[in-house]
Amino acid sequence: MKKTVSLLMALLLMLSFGLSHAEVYTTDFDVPATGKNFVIYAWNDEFLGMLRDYYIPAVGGTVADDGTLVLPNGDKIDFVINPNDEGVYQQKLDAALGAGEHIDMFLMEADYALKYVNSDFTMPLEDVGITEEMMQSQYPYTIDVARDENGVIKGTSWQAAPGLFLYRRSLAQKYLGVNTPDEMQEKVKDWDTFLETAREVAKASEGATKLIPANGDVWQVVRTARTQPWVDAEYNLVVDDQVEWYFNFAKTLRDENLTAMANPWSEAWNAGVGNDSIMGYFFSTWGIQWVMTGNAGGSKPGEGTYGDWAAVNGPQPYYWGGTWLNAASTCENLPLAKDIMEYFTIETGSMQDYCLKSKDYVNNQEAIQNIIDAGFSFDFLGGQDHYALFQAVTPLIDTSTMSPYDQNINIAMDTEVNSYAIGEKDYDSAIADFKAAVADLYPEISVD
Amino acid sequence: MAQPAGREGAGSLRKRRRGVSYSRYGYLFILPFFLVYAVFQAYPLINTISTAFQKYMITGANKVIGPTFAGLDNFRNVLTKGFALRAFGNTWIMWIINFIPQMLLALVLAKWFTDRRMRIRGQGAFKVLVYMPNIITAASISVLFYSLFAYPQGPVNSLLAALGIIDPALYANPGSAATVAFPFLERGWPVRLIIAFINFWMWYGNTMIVLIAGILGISPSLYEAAEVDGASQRQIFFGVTLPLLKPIMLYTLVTSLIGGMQMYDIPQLMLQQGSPAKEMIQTNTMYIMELIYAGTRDYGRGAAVSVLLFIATLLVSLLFFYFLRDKDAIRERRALKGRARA
Repeated sequence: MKKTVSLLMALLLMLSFGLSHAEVYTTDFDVPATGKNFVIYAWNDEFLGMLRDYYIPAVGGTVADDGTLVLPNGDKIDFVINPNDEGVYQQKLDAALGAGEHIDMFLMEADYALKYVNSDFTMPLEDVGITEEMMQSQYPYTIDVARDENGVIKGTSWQAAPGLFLYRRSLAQKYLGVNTPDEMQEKVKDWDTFLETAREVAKASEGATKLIPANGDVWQVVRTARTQPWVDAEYNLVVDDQVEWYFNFAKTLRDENLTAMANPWSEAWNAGVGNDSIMGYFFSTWGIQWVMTGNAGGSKPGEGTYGDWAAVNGPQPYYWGGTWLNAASTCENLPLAKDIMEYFTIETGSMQDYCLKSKDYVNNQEAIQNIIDAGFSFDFLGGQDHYALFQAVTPLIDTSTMSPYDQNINIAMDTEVNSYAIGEKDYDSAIADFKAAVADLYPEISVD
Repeated sequence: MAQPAGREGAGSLRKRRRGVSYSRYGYLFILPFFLVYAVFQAYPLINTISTAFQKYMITGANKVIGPTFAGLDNFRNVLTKGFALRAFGNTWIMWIINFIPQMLLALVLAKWFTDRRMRIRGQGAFKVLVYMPNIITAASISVLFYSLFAYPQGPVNSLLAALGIIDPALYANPGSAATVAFPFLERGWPVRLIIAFINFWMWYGNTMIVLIAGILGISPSLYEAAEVDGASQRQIFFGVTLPLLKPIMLYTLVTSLIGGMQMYDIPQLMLQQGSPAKEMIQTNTMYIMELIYAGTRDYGRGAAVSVLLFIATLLVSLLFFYFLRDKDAIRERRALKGRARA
């Protein structure tokens, strides 16, 4: 009896040993200890989660009881998190950088990446130890976003962010009579059709279900279709034609009650993923794993809305956001910065592992191709291979309309669009107020 | 008076000892305060005033411009192209809506609590309850109210649905709730009223306590004299209590004004990103914060708005001092001076 038990135990131990090797991706860690904390600035705990769930186990570090990440060499990682609302993250980051505080790495979003890339606060990647050659598996647009005026690369990203339109299969079947993603794509193939479909959904469900959460979601898509950035090379504010179109589109949506009025990132917006009030969301790659899977109300097909979603290209190709890592000029631990950056943005092995487990869309063409070739299907999307859809959209991403002023200008425009949509102002005064607000925010931009 | 010759030395010694002054120790004791004041209050104050006349900013691309002398440019900019006047108007309106009911309620409560005839029981408990909102931080209350008035679905909207003011059937469904629910935080006046209410609720207890202290400071003999003369309660209140409360009311008025003009945490936390109400609730200090921290960090214009705020508060306070002055005391003093000259 004792012999069988001990044999079983030994077998189990061996199995778990073998299994754990298959589960956790491991890599070598040969960064010397510095005895100082490694300080990272971010606006949410996404990257903290990535380090905690992927990097730390991979290199053999530990997580202390209070959540602090401890590297195998004893150094600790310190996160300073300031949320993005009303541009607070940028404000706090600017204050800290301006005061020369010790920051090792900070994260930037697409909306304001250019501002930091073109400043002295970011260190060229070559100085960190990452050359352009090493980045050749990355999608080119992610590298271009992080190039400063002289073409020096200052940041690197672990994800590409092409966007799709995700919708609930069952609701689409019920109110629109569509059965496959291709049929749905026909219903949202351009903005006019999209508007008609929105009307159809609201009418068929008697207002219980709306096609999209709020007009803010539409802006995320439309802004990438602009042909000119917000601010041109001579520091003039440029109000692209798409802006006027968007103002009117938002007003129509509001007047006809075609949205659920759940502003992006609000509670209702998050909850809409798990209930029947909203049929579709515009999301790029990170949205699916960061927002949707968490809010679907389940983790397997059949639970909540998990498995009831599908992805289509939507009215136009777009990209939304993306996060770039960079080393601050006050970085005191370049080897660690290099190691972290390599793990998440360069090495195909670790990136592929992260991609499969998190369902993010990593910035590594080789890894993505491997995943698609292996026959990827995402049960959250009812077995659809959305990576192939993303992969088709990524080459179409054109980031030439990005400017360092994007985030604050978008926030200012949001106020005016809402004023116009609820009927408080007419279009001309809304635009005039928008220009006045931008002029007040950035005196160096001339608005006319 | 002539001193005996032998005692002359002793007398002069005594004179010298009487001349030893201990006052320098007093100066030493108050020196730390003045040092701290000079470094942390006086210097920044002067620095701000001088920055207001300079062009000094850090642009959106992290380039530092200035500091260079710019005369009145900053002032002109914030008053004409900028939003200083709008901010001042918003702050002023929200303060008035808050202050008048606050003062009235505090006066009524103070009268009741000090009335010798009414003799209200459990005054201690009432005073604690009335003062409690002041102890909770404004930020916590604002966050609470922000969630209360959520749209499309939130506690207040649910209450309206339960009362039947908005269609409960449509409201129950999150998809259609938006068509019937009230977007409180999107409209200017609802948010203004909420902010004024929060301020009112937080401060009426404090005002009441101060007024009670003021009323208790009035000599009871005046009340007795008035009652002997046959004055009614109303006449006593308006003829004896209120005039003698003027100094205390002036104190409450001015401190409330200073606090009100600098209102920041409540309106900032009631501001929903993208809300059209922003134009109607942005206060002076919110505007200064926006100038200094958001977009291009413009220290020159931020300082200019701060100086304007200071001047405005000063002028209004002086106005209050003028209107609530003790006319009788001034007349007496003038008469005295006149008699002294003559």
